Amino acid sequence: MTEPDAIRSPALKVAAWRIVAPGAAGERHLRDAAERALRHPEGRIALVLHLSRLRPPAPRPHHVRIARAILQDTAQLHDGQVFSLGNGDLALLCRDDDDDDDDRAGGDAAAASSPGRLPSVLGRLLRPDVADAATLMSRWRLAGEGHAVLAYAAERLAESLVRPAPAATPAPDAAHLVEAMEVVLQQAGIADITQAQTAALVGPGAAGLRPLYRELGFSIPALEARAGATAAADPYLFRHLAARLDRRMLAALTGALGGGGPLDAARARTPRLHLNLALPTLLGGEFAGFARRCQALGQRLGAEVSLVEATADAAGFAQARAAAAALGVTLVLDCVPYLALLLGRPWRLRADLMKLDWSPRLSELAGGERVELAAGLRAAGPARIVLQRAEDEAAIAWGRAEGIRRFQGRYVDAMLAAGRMLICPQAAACTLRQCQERGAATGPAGRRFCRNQPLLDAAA
Amino acid sequence: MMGSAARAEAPPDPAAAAARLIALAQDCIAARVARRALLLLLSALPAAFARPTHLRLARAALDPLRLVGRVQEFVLPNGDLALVWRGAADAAVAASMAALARLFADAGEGAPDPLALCRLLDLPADAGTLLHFVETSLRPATAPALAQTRRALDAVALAALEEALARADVARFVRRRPICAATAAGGFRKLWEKRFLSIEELAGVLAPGQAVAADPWLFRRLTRVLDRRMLALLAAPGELAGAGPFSLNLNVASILAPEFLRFDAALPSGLRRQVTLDLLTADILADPPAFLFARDFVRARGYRLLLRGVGVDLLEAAPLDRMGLDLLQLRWSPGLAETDPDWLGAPPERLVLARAASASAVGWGRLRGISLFQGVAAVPGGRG
Repeated sequence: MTEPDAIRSPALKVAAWRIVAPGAAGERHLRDAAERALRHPEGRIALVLHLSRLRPPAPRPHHVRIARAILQDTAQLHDGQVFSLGNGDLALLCRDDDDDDDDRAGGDAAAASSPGRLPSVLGRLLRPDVADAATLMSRWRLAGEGHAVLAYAAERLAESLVRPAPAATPAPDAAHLVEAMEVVLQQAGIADITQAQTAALVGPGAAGLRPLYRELGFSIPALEARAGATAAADPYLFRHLAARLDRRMLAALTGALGGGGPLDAARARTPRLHLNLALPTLLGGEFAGFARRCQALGQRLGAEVSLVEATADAAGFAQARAAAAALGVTLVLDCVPYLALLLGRPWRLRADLMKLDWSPRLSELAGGERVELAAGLRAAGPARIVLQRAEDEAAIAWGRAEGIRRFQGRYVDAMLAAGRMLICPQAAACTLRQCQERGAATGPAGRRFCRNQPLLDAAA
Repeated sequence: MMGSAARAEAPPDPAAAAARLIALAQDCIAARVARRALLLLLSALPAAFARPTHLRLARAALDPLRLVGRVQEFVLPNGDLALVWRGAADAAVAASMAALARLFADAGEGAPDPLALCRLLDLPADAGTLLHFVETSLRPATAPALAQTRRALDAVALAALEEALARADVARFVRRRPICAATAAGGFRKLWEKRFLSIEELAGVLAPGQAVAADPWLFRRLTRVLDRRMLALLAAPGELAGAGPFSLNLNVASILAPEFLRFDAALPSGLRRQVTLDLLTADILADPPAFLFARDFVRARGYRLLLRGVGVDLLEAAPLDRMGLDLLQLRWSPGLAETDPDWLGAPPERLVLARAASASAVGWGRLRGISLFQGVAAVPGGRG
C-alpha cells in the first residue's frame, strides 16, 4: 500500500500531512539540546526549516523526508542533531565548519549538505512551493543569537502542549479500498455522484457574463465519501474508478437522451455540454453514437481529457482529436497546471480548448517564470484557454490581466447564481449558496427545493 | 536430439537471441562470410496446429541439422526458429525437410504445408530476408493477439498481485538491456545498461492469464510498487559492488520514497554520477511540484535524468530543455521519419533512439546525428 504521498492532480483532493513527533518529544529534545549547546556556543549554529509556513497541502511527506535526510547528512558530517517538531518544522543544531572540507569528505552530496550551503540547497528544492524560500529558513549563530534559538524552542514547546493530539490516520488498505470502490461501481446511482458546473465568458461590465458550456463530471467528495477514502490516498485507483464510471455515465446519458430528465443532454440550455471522458471511452462506438444523437437533437458536445492521460497516451489523444473533429465535438485538454506551461508545451497537443488550473502561485511568480508563462499563454492563445478552479476574484483578475476571458469555478458559479436570483420571482425563498448547490446537482434530490428549475437549467 | 554446440549457444532470452542473429547477419554482410540459414516460421501455424505437441514435433524435425558442426540455433520472440551454419550440410537439410514434410501427414484436409513455413537462405545474399523475419519477430504484432487471450487486470486482482509481490523473490525477474554508442567504425559500444524488473514475466508467474498493462492507471500503480522493490533490491548489501553505469525506470513518487534514500546511501562512491534515472512525461505532469522537487534533489546529488518513451505524437509537447533534464529517449516508429528534424526535442547529442530494432531505425538516427541507441539493432559488437 502506498502512503498518502500522491500525485496532485487538480481533480483529486490531496490530504495535508504533517510529521508529528509523539507528544512534545521533538520540542523538548530541541530545547534541552539547545541549552546544552549554549554552554559552548562558539562555532555552532541552529537552522530551522519552517515547513509549517508552506501553503497547504504542503508540507507533503516527501518535503519532510528529503529535507530531513539532507539535514541529517549535515548533522552527521558536522557533529549535529536534527529535530522533527509537531508543527512540521525541522531544526538542526550543528558545527558551522569551513565548507572547503566538505568536498574532500564526500563529493557533491556532502558539499550540498554543508551548513553554509543548506539554505540555497533547501531553498532551491522548495522553490515550486513558495514564492520566497528565504521565509522558510531561520539561521542563528549560537554565540550571540542563542536567545533566539531558545525562544523558538520554547514557543514550539508551548504550542505543542496545547495542540490537540492528531487523529490516527492509518494508511488506507488497498484491498479494502478496492472492495469499497466495487461497491460504488455496483450500487451508486450516476446522478448521485455526478455534478455539473457551467463555464462562462466574462466580458467587461456587469452584462458581460455569458455561459459557454455545462460540464458534467464526477463529484470527488461524493466518491470519497462512498469509498471511505480520499482520492489522494490512492490517486491511481481513483482514476481507474473514474474511468470505469465514465462508461456508466455515458450509458446513463444515452438512456436519458430526449427523456426530459436532469441527465437529458438535449435539455441543457447552455451552448454545449462537456463530458469528462477517459480516452478509451471517447474512442469507443458508444460515444460516437451518443454524439450523433446529440447532434441530431441540436445539442453540441465537448469531451474533456486530462493532460496526464493525453501525455500518457499521446497516440490515443491524436486519434481522439481526429475522432472529435469528425463528430463535431470540441476536444478539451483538461487539468493543465500552470507548471505544465513552464515544463512543456501542452498547447502542441492541439486540443480545441485548454483548461488551465488557477493557483494563487500564479500571481506570485518571479520575473523569469512570469515571462515564460506569459509566452506560454501567448503560444496557447488566450482565446483557447479556460481558467478553471476560479474560486475567488483574484483568479478572475489575474486571468483578465492575461487576456483570458473564459472562466470556470466556484466564483463563476456564484456570479451565475446571483444573475439567476436577480431575475427569479421565487428567489426570496433561497440563499445564494442554495442556488449555487442546486445548479451543480444533477439528481432530483439536490434540485427538488428549487421552484424555478427551467431557470436553474438555463444557468444564465 | 539437440547438438551440444547448439544447446550451448542457444540464448534463453528470445530478444537477446534476435539481437545475436541480427549481429550475425550484419557480420556476414560486413565480412562477406558465407553461411546458410534455415528459418522455420512456427508463428505462421494456425492455432489448431500450433499446440505444444505440434511445436515440439516441428522443432524435433530439425534435429538432423542440429548435428551439423558449428550450427547456431536462435529462438526468436515470436517463436520462430533459425538455424545458421557454415559449409555444406545438404544431407542434413534434406533429412530435416523430409521430417518436416511428414509433420501433418495424418491430419487430413486443412492441415498446413510445413514446407511452406521454411526458408532456406544463403548469406550474405539473403541477409535482407533474414533481417526482415527477425525484425518481424520483434514487432508487437503478436501482442494484441496474446492480450486478447488474457483478462484485463482489475483492481481486485491488482490488490492480490501486490500482496503476492510483497512476498515474492523478484530478483530473478531483473533484466538488463544495453544502451550503446555508435562507433566511427559502424559498430556499437555499450555505455550503460538499463536495469529493470520484467513486469510481463513477473505477472506471468504471479498473475497468470492477466494482462497487467490493460488498465493504464492500475498499471501505473503497479510500477510504483515495482520501483520500490527494485530500489530495495539494489540497496541490498553487495548488490552494487563492482557495478558499472546503469539506468532505472522510476516514477517521481519513487524518487521521493524512503527506498530511494536507502538506495542512494548504498551506492558506492563515484557510481552516483553514472546512474541515470528515467522518467515519463505523464508522470512528471501528474505532479509538477513533486517532479521539480525530485529533479533538483537528485541533480544536486549527481544523478543524470532522462525523459523516456517520447514518441512522435508527444515530441512537440515535451521539450527537454524546458523540463531541465539531461537526455531525451525518442521512441522509434516509422512516423518519426516524417517529423521535422528541427522538432526532435533536444540536440542530437542528448538523444537516445529507443526501440532501434531495424537497420532503418539506426540509419535514420545516424543521419540526424544521434549516436546513442537502444534496441536489438544496436547491440555491443553489432553493426548498424
